[in-house]
Amino acid sequence: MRKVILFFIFLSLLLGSVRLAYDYIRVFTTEKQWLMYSDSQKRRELYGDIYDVIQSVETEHKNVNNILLISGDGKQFFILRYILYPKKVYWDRLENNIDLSQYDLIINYHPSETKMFHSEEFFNKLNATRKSSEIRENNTIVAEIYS
Amino acid sequence: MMDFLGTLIFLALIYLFGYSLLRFRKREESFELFETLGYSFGLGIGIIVFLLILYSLLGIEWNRLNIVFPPLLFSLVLFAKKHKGLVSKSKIMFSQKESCSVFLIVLTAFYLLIQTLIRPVSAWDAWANWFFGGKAFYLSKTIDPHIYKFANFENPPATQLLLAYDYIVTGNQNDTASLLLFYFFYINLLLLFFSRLKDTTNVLNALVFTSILATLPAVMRQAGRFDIGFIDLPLSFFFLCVILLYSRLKDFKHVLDLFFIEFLLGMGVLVKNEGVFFLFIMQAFILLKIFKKGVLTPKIILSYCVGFLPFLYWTLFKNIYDINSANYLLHGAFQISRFSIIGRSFFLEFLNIQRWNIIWIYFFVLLFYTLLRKKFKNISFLLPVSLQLLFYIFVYFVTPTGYEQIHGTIDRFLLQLLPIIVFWMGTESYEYIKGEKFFKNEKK
Repeated sequence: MRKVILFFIFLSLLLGSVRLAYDYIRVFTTEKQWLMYSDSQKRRELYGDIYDVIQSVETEHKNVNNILLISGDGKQFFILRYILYPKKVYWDRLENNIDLSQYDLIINYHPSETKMFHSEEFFNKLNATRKSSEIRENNTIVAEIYS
Repeated sequence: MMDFLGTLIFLALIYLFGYSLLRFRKREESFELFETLGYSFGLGIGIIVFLLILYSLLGIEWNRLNIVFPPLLFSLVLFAKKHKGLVSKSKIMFSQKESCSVFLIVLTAFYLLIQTLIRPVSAWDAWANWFFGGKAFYLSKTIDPHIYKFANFENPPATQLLLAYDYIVTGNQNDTASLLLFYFFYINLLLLFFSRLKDTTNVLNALVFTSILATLPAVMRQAGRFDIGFIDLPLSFFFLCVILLYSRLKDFKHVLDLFFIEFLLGMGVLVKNEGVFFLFIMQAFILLKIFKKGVLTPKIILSYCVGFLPFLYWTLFKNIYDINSANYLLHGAFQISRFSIIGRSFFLEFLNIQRWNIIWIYFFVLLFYTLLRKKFKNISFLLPVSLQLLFYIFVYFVTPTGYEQIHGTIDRFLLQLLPIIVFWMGTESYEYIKGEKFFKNEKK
């Protein structure tokens, strides 16, 4: 049994050391740019294009309180809710009987993917009653913002 | 830069508050430096959490003056009054073999420090729960129940309170700097682990097993890489503190140790819901020990009750403000059909070398051999962990979300118990290899 235990110990240490060496190599190669990035760049890299939406809300819609996010993915909702707090962000997937008048701002994130979540009438009403703007990246609409 | 400095001051305050509580112990019962640091960190965190809860209950505003100076003054008075030299002065000189392990641990810790500092909070659970709650508490300057309603979560408040405390001390809500708190859980976990294992085995063995624990990918992920901000590693720190102090609780000669155990058990409850079951398991063990030793004195009864107070507070808070609870634990149907999914998930997880290296294979071989040889001397160490694991398995049988939850939580549950298991492996392995030339202590 002694030999078996020693084998396990040395293999564990070997695996740990090899992984650590690989991790260090990554720090100096693929992760090197993280050391140079500004906080904004890091968050853009981590959170994705939802961070463009956050920046737009923070600069152009400072005074809004209640925001409805239309999105197919919970990740964007939780990021938005965290970063924009104390503005209150709600997610259409968690809201029953959405009353559009309750929200100061409505964000349709990746509109090409959210069409199926609501009726045509819903989007028509949104377009008819609110002023809209777009955030684009490489000719693709990241979000439509209705204020 | 100032935010990082602020967080370092916050961490120093944690140690200071905790150490002042440790100073109530008698000099002859002193811990060694690393153990003192580990327990001070746990107790200091407890003091901050309980202070903020108390202020919230009494309606005292959370501002820098209120939350820093009273405990600071209290600590300084204790420093002036109480005896000196609580930390026992044993010097550790490392041999060449031991230095290799130390080097590996230091390299790992340094790598994780870099990882902690270069990214803002990036883990899903962190921004959805803990950091969101921390920011909300910081802005509301109290434990506002509406936050729980708005965010629709039911997580205990300790982590959010610690983050709020950090932001108040720093004066800014910097979620990159506050990740240092989670990194320090890892450091203190290793310090405690090493210090106690060294006492029960020897320095080289303790260092080797500390290296094994420190370099496990699952541990590293929550200590500074992608999942930093998750709170399973902090919970495992409190579990380890409790088990290690419990193993010292031989004849209840030092009632204060029981108080510390209860205090830390209570903290576990306020860190994560899984801490509740651990509280009941450990309370059962402690009660058995109290009866076995026949030491049912008022002091011991009072200390024993301390662990239940945070549980009572949190249960009342949730009931008064009608906060969602995991009622399925009591009312959910037991779905025996999940047996194969649960069994397979555990089996695959234990074989997941990418996450765990070979630690689980090693553990089961060691456990099997120990049971085969009927060497039950140290096996009692694993009893609380086994019961906790059984509880997690029970949760999988009754949870309404089924496979999704099993898949997403199994590694976290195992991580909560891992340090205790590796500690047992360290003591048990030493029993078999202590005759080996390699593991004998060299003359310094």
